[in-house]
Parts: sequence; C-alpha cells; structure tokens
Amino acid sequence: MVNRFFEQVGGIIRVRLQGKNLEKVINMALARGIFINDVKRKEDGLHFKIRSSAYSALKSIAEENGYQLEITEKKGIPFYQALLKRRLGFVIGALIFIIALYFLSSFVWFIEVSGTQKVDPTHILVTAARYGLYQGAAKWNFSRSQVEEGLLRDISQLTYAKVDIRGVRVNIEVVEKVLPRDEITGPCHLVASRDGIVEDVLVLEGQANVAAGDVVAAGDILISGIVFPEPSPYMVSDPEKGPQVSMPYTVRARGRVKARVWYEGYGECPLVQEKVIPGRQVTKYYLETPWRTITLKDEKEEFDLAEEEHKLRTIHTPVGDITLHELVITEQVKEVTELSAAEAEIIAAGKAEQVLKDKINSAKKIINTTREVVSSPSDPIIRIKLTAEVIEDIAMPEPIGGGEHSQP
Amino acid sequence: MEKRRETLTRVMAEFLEIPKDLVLDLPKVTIIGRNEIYLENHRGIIEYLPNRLRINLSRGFIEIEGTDLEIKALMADEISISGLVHSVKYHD
Repeated sequence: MVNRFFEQVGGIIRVRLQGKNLEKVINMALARGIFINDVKRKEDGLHFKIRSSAYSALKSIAEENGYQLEITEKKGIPFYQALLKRRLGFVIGALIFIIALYFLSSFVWFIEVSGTQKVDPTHILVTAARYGLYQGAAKWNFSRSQVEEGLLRDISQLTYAKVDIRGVRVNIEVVEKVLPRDEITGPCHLVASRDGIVEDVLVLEGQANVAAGDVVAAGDILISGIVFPEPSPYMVSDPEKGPQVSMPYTVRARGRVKARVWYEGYGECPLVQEKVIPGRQVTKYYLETPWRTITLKDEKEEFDLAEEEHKLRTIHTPVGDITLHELVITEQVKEVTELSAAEAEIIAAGKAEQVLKDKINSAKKIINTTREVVSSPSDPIIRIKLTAEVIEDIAMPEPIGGGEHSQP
Repeated sequence: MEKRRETLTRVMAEFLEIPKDLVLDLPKVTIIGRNEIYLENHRGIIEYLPNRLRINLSRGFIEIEGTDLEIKALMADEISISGLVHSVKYHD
C-alpha cells in the first residue's frame, strides 16, 4: 500500500526490453541500484516496471550493450502534470474547496451550555464571550483553559467548568456549587411566622414568652433568647453581700411552638364560559440572510381570530447572521358553554382546593376545613372560599439585634 | 586459504550463535503456500523463463520450476517471486 503511494508520487514507467540474454541487463541494473518490479516474460520481450528516475540509467545500460528499450506505459503524478495544466480551473476549485472547508471549520458555530440549574445559561455565555468564546469566534483567538478559568473566577456559583470543542460545536459543561443552608448560630429569639392560637409550647433553650391558649400575631416573640436568671431557692444568699443579682444573658433559643393557624384558598367559576380552542394551522418559512430575505414556504390564510407563533433559528457566521423564521399561525375558534350553579360550584371548589394545597405543605396536619360560597345568587360567577385549620410549628429563628447569619 | 577462512567464520558463528545467513551470506528462502517465494542473499539472475527461474547464489544456484512465474520485486539482494511453484532445486 505504502509502495503504491510512493509509486504514484514518484511516477512509474513500464518498459519493454528486447534482445538476447536479457538477464544480463537485469543483473547490471541491479548492480547499479535500480529496483525492478513485476518482471514478466512475453513473446515480444521482457516487460517490467521501474521508477521514472531510474529510466535514464537503464536506457544507457541498454544502449551500451545493444538492447532495445521501449516505454509502454507511464503512471503517477509527474505524468498527470500536462492534464492538470489543461484543467487548471478544476485544480484551483478543489484547492479553494479544501481551504474553505478548513477555514470555516476553524470557527465556533454552535455553543451549548449544560449542567446549569440556578445560574442563567445566558450569563455563562456572556462571561465566556468576555474571554473570547462566542458564536463566530475563531478557534485560535481563545484558549480553552483561559475560558474555563475565567468562568470559574467570574461566576462564583460555579465549582467546575469544562469547555469541550468538537469540530465547530462547543459545549460548556458546568457544575454549580451546593451551598450549605444559612444557619443562625448566634443568639436569637424564636418568633411567630404567622398569626395563630398557641396550642403547645416546648422550650429546649431560652425563656417561653407565650403559653397554650395565647393568641399571637406574626413577628411576636414566642421563646426569648434573652434569659433573666432567677435566684436559686436552694442557694442561701450571703446576708453581708446582699441578694445576688445575676445579669441577663443571651442564648440561641430552641424549641417548638405548635399553634392553630388558618389557610385560605379561593376559587371562582363563571356560569357562562367562553373557551378558545385551536383550529386549522398554517406554517410559513422564510430565510433571512444579510443580503435578502428568501421565502421558502408561504400559504394563504383567512382566519377571523388567530394566534401566531414565531420561532427563530439563528446561525452566527463570520459574514453575518442567517436566520430561519418559522411562523405557525393557528386559527382560534370560540366555544361557549353554559354551566349550572352546582357544576360551577364544583369547579370553583376544585380551584380553591388547589390553591389551598399549594399553600399548605402536605406534611401538615389539617384539623378542619370549611367551605363558603362568597358570591350572591344573582352573580354570573360562583366564588368559593375554603378555609383550613392547621396545627403547625410556627417558631422561626430571628437573630437578636439585627442578627448575624452564618457566624463561624 | 579461502576455504580456511570460511571454516573459521562458520565456527565463530556457531560459537556465538549468530544466524548463518547474516555471517556466511547464505541464501534464505521463504516459501508461502505454493504461490510466493522470497529469496534473500542472491547473486543475480541466470535465467528467467515463465516455467523456469534460475538464480545465482554465493555458492551454486537455485532452480525454481513452475508455471507463469513472475518476478514481483527485484532488489540488490532480495527477490520476490510469484506463480505456481512445482519444485525448488539446489545445484552446485
């Protein structure tokens, strides 16, 4: 295989040797270092192949000894020169094609971001662009490691970034940091997170400010983090020094305050409903280039009411943006339905229940639910209010005096 | 003189366990199936006909008989032959 290649590059000649005692010429050629291939004896002489560079040497040997040497075939690039010269345009076109392919493949055409959860992918793209990686950027204008380092330095939420270049497609893979929860470690109170009636108080640390049965409003201190020490009845105070007064001190209040709280859910349903449903659909395509806009597919449409959906697909190229517009036009058909009061009530109650469910965590204990129709009978709409009574822990830590979060 | 030198070289080659085709210029023939023969350390071609090929060696010559014999490649000390081989004979 390699031999074939060199034959093509160097050029190979097939010759015919005529005369008596042809082996002598072959041995002389061998002694001079001429390689001979594919020797075949036929009636009209000895046929074999030599490299084109060895032809003159072989010819002189043959002539000196009175043999006849004739070229029967020429092969290889050197012999195609004349042909290539005649078809210069073809050669130039092929070269331009290869150069263009190489040139265009050295740009970034597509960028993808994967692995983002909280960080906005566009934020990552903008940051990467600042380090030279953007759609249409030449590959030699940015360094992979620099972009990776820049991403990590500029976006503090990232813990890992990898820029993967595959041909004209770049994939930025990131992993976000998982931060520990904000834990209050300094002294703090436990305050009510919402209004309610206290059912049960359990103090682990701190001083209780409320008792079962108390009505509290959101923000009231339930368990105080400031403790006023009481003199121990078992310690006898020194009469000379007078009663010992200890100073109040602060703690991080801990405990659980269960309270009866209320959640409300509201839902409504009109008796006469007008619904819009999609009907016929028409799709148009057109291509927008920096020079002109080309319509690829167009359809006539006559809709009274329609909704348009416009999709864009843009490719940023060094010569400008090429955008494929896809326009989907969907007819909107009106549909009117009338509901009875009972049906509307069920729908409204269902909506109210959904709202309520979203507010109440499923883990909480619901004691009682009340349903109330708020609308008057003459209203064209049914309004439902659902109230759920729930017992939950309303204690919420709040730092004393402005608070210090996450103190080490 | 020449004979003694050759004997000495052979003894040395045997003692040092060097392949003899390297030291003594002996021919090395590789036959693959019935269709291919590689011959190293040859001394030129004596006769080439489609049914008989005689190749000179450092001592004597080798005669290959067959049908449609062809010399695929011919180099200073290597030769590659193809064709249907019937016999390989050594002559002094």
